[in-house]
Amino acid sequence: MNGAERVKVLLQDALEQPRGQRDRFLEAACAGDPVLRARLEALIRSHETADEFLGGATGGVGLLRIAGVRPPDARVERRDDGTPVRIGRYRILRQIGAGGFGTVHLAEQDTPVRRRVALKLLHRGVDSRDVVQRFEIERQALALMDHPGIATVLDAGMAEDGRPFVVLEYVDGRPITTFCDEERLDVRRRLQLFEQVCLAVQHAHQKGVIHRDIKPSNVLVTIVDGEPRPKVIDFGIAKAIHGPLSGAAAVTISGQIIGTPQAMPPEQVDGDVDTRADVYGLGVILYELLAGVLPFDPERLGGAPLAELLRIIASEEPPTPAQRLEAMGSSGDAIAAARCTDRARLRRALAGDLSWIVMRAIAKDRARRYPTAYALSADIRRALHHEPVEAGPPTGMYRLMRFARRHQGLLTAAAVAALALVAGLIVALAMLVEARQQERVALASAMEADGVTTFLADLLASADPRAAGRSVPLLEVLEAAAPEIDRRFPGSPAAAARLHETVGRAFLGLGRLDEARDHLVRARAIADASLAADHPIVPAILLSLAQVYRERGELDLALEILERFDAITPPPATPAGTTTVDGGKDAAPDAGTHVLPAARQRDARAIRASVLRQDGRFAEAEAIARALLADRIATTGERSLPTAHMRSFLGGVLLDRGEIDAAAAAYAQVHEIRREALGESHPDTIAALRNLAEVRLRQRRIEDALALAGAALAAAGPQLGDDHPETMAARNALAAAMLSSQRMPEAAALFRENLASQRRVLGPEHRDTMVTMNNLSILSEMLGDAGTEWTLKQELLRMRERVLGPDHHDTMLSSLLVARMLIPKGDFEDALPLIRRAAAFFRRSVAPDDPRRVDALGLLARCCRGLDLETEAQEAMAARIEGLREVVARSDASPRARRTLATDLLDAEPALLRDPTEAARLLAALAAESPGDATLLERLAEARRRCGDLDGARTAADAARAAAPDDAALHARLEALSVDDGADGDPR
Amino acid sequence: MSDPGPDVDAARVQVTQLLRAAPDDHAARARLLEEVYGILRTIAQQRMREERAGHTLQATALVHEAFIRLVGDDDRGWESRAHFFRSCAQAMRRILIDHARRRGADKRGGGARPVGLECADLGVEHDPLELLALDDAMTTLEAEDPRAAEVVSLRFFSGLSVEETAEILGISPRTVIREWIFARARLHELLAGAAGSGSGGSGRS
Repeated sequence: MNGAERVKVLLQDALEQPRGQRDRFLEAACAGDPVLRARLEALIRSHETADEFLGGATGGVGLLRIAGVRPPDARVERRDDGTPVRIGRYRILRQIGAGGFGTVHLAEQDTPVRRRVALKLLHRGVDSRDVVQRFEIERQALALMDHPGIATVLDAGMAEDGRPFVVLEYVDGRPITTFCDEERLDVRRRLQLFEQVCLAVQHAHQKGVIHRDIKPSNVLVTIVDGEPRPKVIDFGIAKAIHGPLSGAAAVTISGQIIGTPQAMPPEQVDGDVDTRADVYGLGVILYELLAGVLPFDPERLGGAPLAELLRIIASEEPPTPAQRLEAMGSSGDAIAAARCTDRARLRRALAGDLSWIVMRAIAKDRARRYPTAYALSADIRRALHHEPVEAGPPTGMYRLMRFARRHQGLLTAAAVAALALVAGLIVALAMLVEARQQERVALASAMEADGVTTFLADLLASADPRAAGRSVPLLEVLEAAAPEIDRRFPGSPAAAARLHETVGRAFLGLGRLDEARDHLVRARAIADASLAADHPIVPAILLSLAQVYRERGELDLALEILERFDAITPPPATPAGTTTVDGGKDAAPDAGTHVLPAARQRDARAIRASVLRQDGRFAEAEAIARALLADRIATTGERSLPTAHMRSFLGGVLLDRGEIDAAAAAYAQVHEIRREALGESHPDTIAALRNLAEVRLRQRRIEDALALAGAALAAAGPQLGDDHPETMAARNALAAAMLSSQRMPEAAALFRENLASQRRVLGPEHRDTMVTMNNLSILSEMLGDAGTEWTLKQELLRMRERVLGPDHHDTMLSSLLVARMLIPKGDFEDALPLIRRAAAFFRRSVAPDDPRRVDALGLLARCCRGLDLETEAQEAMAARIEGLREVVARSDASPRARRTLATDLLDAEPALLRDPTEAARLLAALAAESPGDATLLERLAEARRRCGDLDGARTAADAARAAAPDDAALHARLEALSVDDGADGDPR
Repeated sequence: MSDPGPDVDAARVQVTQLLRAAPDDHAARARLLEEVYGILRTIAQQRMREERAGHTLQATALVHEAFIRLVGDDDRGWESRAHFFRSCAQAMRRILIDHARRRGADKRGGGARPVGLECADLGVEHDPLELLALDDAMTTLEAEDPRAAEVVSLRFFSGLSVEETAEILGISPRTVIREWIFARARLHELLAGAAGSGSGGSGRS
């Protein structure tokens, strides 16, 4: 401890001594150090004279003191039977309630004003002083709340018998649910009342106060001027009574639950509470207001052992209010009657919007809840006005997904689980060795190391697949063990951070992204708070966290973490990859943890490239991928598996950029290398085969694509299972190939199969699920099923906007597709914003001849013309033609690009963009390459005629007739073309 | 609450970006301070217009509201919060000192103090001259003991509770109280030294 710290500690200790004993304390503490003693005495003097300076020594701080100072301990007068008649300046009138915390009394205050108040007298506990002190700290925030819907907290103090008390505005009302039932309010009036409650809670949140225990009995309704007025009581009391730690963590050390299980959000079990916990509480109230019962059967919760109770809170999805009512049968009649309606009508009223709103408010994952009480009230208002609500799509799907995901984790990922966990444990053990070396000097080192060892040993012992006979329990063990970390290692941040990192990564391996994120975030927080900035675990935590965020699609966060990684990790002294961990020179136990900086930075760059690619930033992704590939070739050779892996990634990026042939070459090479090294049936080989199938399809080599995708699916299904990601990918590739070869029913079957699989395994809003929806929508388009097409595309656009944000490639693609439906219908107004942003996006992100860009610009031009935006229309068309020209000027231009350009040069609007001479040249070359293409020849005839080459036009027309002797329509068109031979039909 | 309005939206984007800046990006730090300073003043002015007359504003209210409006649900975790509240403390200090300078000047000039919107009445019950002296003493303390000064800054200027301060600084509440007791005694000592006398406290009850 340095000098300054010592002064502070002694100052605090001295001030805590009774005044009479301070001298003796200082004498003992400063023995032989007169300078120290003089310093302390000066500071104590200063403290004594400081009085209310800066708001006092411990109490209310800040710029404005709350009126009134803490009174001395309040005198208590009792009746003979021990019941209090007076506590300080409060005269107790009668007891009006009791709970686990103590008793509530109606009391009367004499000074400074005469009023009735509610006085909560808490049980005496070891931390009575703390309660009062916490209250002193909280009261400033509480005093800021000034809202008719919130009962004011007036005072707090300590009775002389050591029991803390809190004084609140007295509200003579009934709990909101009781009130609504007794007054027989219909659903509409219940919602109006509830909306007021939301707004009151929102007010408190804006003042930085969280309630933490919102439930019907804390929302009292009184009648003021004939109108019902709700008032939320006990704001901030939970925190003041229980303190930040125990008040947040719902389970005390003795295993008691704090708060009301019915109204408790799952995160409260972990002690991590924010304003969304109150949104949950509001949702529970709304549930009861609508359905007449609580989301969970109170008898079931009441009778359940603690562990079961926590499990229900954390993972069981309650039925929707409508389902609940349905299940009640005739016992729901009374509930409907209290809402002035009958059961069938009530059920209809609750189904849909209202059920969605409730289920969103009480979502297990708080990220899915309404972000604020205000957002909840806004949706209520929308429902009242029959406007579309924000909640939904139907949460039943979400529940199904949650269920599937839970069980999928247990079933198909068992092998992955074993692998990830064992790897994680080895790393943790290795870190332990390292920890021993580094922290030998630290006081708690030995204890900590032993603790970690024991912890891991316990974990391993119970997770041993041989002992359990199956590997599924690994996940269960992990789930059971995870919450133990903070309990077992409260004073050992290094150990706790390591374990959280290990467990987080194991969850990541299982695809359990929520849990993975929670543990890694926790690991990072611990490391930030308690470990040195260059502690070796920090980069590992950051990389794992970046991966979790990437897999969750939270790309900004992933990039942010990677930037943080770059900031703390200095570039390696040696060129990347000159030494690698697989060198094996010293296979010390810490080899796993001491991943060399070069390798770790390579990982970071690879993750960054994936993130950028997922974010649609293909050019940046490609640059990184190429650099990494060069690095892999230099260090591991041209045909190594690591090189193949990198090349495969690059292939994906190239495909995204529209560089299809280059991508095809890359995939072909990858497949060849893997087949040689790993064999035909290895999952990586199957993946390469499937990639190749996909790219062949993009190259329009459809028969090849069909064969390759069929082979991939045939290998994947039996090998990996029906719901395995690779199986789904293979199915998808085959479906796409079927689609292209017009085998519609087969394609549709495969897509539907996949969509079901994906909704089961990944959830309805997963990126891949959305891709399948996209494909199904295209299929519906091709099948002429306009209804399905319309629904799917619109739904997809909404989902992508919400999940991926407006700047994402897939959202833009959806915008393009929706615009493509709207524009032919003449719905230009609605289409314009969509097609504008899609065109802008594809203009800057893909190759000039990419169909997405070409299509978007063409549609934009058409849409703008429809709205008389001539300048913008011309600009879009000019950009499209210019881009195509640029590509066609290159020797390797694709026939498609040339053909599109030729057509544009013939048909473009406005006409000044046309160039029939150039079009004729392009078409002639194309016709020479694919003789017998009647359409091409027809266009060539048209082009030649327009630039006055009548002989040439006739030749081309004859060739077209010869190519399609039976196409009457073509013949008629050619006839029309030649009727005015000799006249100048060209508008130019 | 009414909608934040376009200026706040823009500021929000800006702040979110700035909160992501690396800790040693001093330019970003400075810009963040500017943003926070601006929004605190905006909120203070709006509140003074909207709230009933005589209502005073407090640092805690301003800072929490600024946080909700600028950072809000965009929960970027502990680091960003710490970062934000530190900037708030600095901004509040600047607002107060600017305010005190003006008020001090008013006092010297005689005239009645206008209850204008300019920085409004932030509920400051402190003598402006005392605040200016406090600012000087804080500067001294910052040099002597940065952590103690930080605790004062967060608690006094940002209005954070002991627990919030503890969370932001990653230390225990007891340590916060220890730092606070020391810092308060030290600041008082510095002020007493500067003024040549104590502030006339009559001892504690």
